[in-house]
Amino acid sequence: MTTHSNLVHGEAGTLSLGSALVVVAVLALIGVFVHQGAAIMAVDEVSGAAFGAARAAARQTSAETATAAADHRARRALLGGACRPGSTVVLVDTRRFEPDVSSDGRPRPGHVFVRVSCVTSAEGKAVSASGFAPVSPYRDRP
Amino acid sequence: MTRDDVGGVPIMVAVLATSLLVFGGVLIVDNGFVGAAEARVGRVADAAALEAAYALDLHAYRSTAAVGPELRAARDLAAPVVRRSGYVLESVDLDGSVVVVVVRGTQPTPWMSVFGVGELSVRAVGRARLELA
Repeated sequence: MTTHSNLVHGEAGTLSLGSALVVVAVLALIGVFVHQGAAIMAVDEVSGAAFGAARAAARQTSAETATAAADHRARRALLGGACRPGSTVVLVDTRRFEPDVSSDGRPRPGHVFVRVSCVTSAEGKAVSASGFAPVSPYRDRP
Repeated sequence: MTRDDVGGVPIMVAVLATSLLVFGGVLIVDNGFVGAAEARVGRVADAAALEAAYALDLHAYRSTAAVGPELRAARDLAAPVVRRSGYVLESVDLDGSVVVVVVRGTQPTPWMSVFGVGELSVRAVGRARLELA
């Protein structure tokens, strides 16, 4: 036996309360999934910017220029992307920038660590990621 | 046939379709998380491979057949840096003049935890060429 208690008849595209709820639930789920996808892409973008900035810094010859290069590179990478303009914060750790030699005479590369954080334009959520790059101990060689 | 209709669609069909959508969405979202984590681990692995390549004593490497000590030294230098990023350096090897590094980590899967899978293992391989050899 068929029950049509909630159906409105005689119109094109009739919808019962139950099916309307299902449609709303499905749309809400799709919205949640899209929202999660946007968050994933934002974190990936910030992570890429952090590693790109670290690599750019590691090619510099001093800690000062490395900091400036990392900051510039990270901001440029995030320009027009998932981050809200003006919200990008770049922290550069160059304490161990200079390569040296270990006690047993082995070359020991220096390091640049970069942490990039920002607020996403779409959802206003804070995201951050870290990156690093080694500094070549052979960079002064001809 | 008894049909408790939802707008002309049997409830069973509606429930099944919604469940499939939820399950598919959960898989897609958490796979997205894992894919993004793989990209991050890949970047760490590439940086670690470069680190290991820089750390190899190339003169010692070329003058002796015993590569083991050099690789151990490279691993000792690269491992703490990888750990600082929250991952684990699994291995450092040489393939000709290419340093091959494997980095491992875990990625939480918040949606799949509903089905009892709280995290997935993520591995990535990084390579760097010994250009100074």
